[in-house]
Amino acid sequence: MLEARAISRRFGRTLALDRVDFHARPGEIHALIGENGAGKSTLVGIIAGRLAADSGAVLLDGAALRSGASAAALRRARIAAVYQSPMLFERMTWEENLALGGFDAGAAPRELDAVAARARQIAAASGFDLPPPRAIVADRSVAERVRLAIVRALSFEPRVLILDEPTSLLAPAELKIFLAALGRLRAAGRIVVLVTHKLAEARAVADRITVMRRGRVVAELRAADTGEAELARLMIGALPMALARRPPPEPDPAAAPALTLAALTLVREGRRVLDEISLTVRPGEIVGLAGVDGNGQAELVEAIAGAVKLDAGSIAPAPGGAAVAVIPQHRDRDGLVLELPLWENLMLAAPLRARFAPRGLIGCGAARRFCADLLDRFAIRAAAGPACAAGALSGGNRQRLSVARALAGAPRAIVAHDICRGLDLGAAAQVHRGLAEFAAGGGAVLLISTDLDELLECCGRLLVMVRGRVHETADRDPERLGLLMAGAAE
Amino acid sequence: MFEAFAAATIAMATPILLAALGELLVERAGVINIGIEGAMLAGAFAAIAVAHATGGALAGVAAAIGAGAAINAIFAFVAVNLAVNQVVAGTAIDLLATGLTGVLYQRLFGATGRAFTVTPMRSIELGPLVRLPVIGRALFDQSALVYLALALVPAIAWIIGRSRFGLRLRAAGERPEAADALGLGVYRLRWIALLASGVLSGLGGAYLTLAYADTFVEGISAGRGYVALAVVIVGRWNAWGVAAASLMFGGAIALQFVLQATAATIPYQLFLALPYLLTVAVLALAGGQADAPSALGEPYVRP
Repeated sequence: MLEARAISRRFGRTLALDRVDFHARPGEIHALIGENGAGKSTLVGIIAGRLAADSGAVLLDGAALRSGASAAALRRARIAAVYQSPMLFERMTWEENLALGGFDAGAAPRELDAVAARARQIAAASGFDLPPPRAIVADRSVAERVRLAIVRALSFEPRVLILDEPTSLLAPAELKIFLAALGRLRAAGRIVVLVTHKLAEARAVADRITVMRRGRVVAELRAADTGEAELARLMIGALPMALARRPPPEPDPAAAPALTLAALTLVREGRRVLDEISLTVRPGEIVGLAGVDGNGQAELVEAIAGAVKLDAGSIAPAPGGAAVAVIPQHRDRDGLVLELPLWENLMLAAPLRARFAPRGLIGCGAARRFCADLLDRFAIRAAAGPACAAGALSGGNRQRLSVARALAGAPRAIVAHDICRGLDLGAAAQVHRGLAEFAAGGGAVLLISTDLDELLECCGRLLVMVRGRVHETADRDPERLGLLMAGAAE
Repeated sequence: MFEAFAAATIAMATPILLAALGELLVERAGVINIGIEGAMLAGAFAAIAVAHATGGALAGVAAAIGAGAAINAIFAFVAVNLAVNQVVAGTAIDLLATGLTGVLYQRLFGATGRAFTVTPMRSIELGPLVRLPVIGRALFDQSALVYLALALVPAIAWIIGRSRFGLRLRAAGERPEAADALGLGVYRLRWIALLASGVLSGLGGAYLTLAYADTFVEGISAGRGYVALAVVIVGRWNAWGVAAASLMFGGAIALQFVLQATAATIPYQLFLALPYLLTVAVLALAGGQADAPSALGEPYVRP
């Protein structure tokens, strides 16, 4: 039995966990659900020994684990975790990454071959493929990294396996086999803790569900006794408005395009990463760009943002101006400066700087008031207000800040890349509502995502990106779109 | 003349190589230790002081090992456990060692004006290999510390590249929070690397006083610790590269002796500056930090 008793943890002035109790029994899959910022990741971080608790205790079979003090003790206790962003060593080979886990091997070629052989057994049982021999992790896709992190966690033969949002990056076919593998762990008497924001998944896979809201546990339920509506209500406090579907906004056919890409071409290492991409987005419409990660979406966004030099093609309006706002995929790396306070992060956007610092000096008071107003309007929870460092916010709140900043610059078009990855229903709905209102007010949106459901719900027109090329499609059937995304049309 | 140049190259490269191999371990664990100059200096002083007092070079070497390790233990506590900025901590260690050795030297020997000399470490001839042309005497008629330094190159290459400890060390230098999450003990790994580096820097210092100069003057390490830092960068954080770069710098210092002897009209200060000019030039040409450990120089604090 895994038990957390009265765990509290504070980050700066934000109370992330407030006397949280949590129980998971051997032979069960226990789902931990909650909105972004509810404290799920903090709780599992403390259970896995990655974070220290301010107070409270973690017990495994009645014996207290020194929380956060000795990760080596957790290694012995066989608690293994897969975190939201896989904790891998990017510049090492995948075999070395696994050797550092439960295989506990050195890096001599013979040892790495043995690691690979044992890893392939684990991977096969979980329905995963592994990269080719001696591949460097940095060169692999996000999904492959998640698989590596899962295989490494399984290599500990864990008694407690903690999975923090692992399934959002697995393909549907993989997911089925992976969930079956979790079932086998349960049958072997292990404890599986699955952190997720997908209610259907929690209900389908888990035996019991713990719901968190704002740093507290609000309910512990048997999965069979509850429904998605009840879970959503517990999680958010009220049903989110976006659950009632609205038709996607319609463009004004007479209006001139707000964003025009003409035959964009970008060659990297002899490969056409962007291959003559042409598309237009008109005022008042949300255009969806679907595609599996790594087909050129990131480069396309960089091109629109003016961060790369194109080999051919043109972008109108020219990159770098105030007319197009870009919300990048890696918000913590490319979007926000985590050490800076929120209001200074807002001032990083050129249009806002133009408004609050017309002569090079920032009007601090006005900028802070503007920030406070924005936090209010977009329901961004920041304990210390505008002076709070961006890094002290939870993921969902950071994402809302990125969107709020883009909207506040009053651009004609917004290019948003993967902005709802890892967001829960409520947070995603708020983000989508923000974009829909922007479009209804005459803005143009290019929404780039790997999540077909999101695109089908939000977008009028759909484009598919495969291997650096973009095709428009009228098809709205998820299965056939999935095939298109996989490149079946070519 | 080539024979003399080759022998001088090896002699000058050895203390740099010893220190740089230690710094290599430290940097692969994610720590940059500027205090290496201080550890060398402390080793050099401890070696000669103890050797002078006891009359035994071996006791001197042991003292150097202890002094280097002790200096690095101070650094490890401040930079690893207290997570103080590593450059600041290292600089403080350098100043500490300079001051401490200076004061102790004055106290022990300054007043009497007695020369601070010892019997140098004997060189060991490795049988018929000595008769090889040009490199024979340079490589096979040297003190034990030279052989140790050369033998450490493949050993440390193996430790870093192949061994389980080395893999963990690299993990701590690449992404300490991930290494910590796997229970690898980042603090412990960094401590071990720093203690090993202290030992090697101490040996480098001992070589200076016991095998090369046979005496002590204040500041005898003369920037060799800083050169060792440069050697790790030029050597691309790789033991073989570090060995090659050490030989290159050793060669530059040896060249200065040859040039001083042959070109008497040029001011000798120019030749003295040669190794340091080379350091600057090579660092400028060596370019980016692409091969540097990702977390190099960042203190790790458990979340």
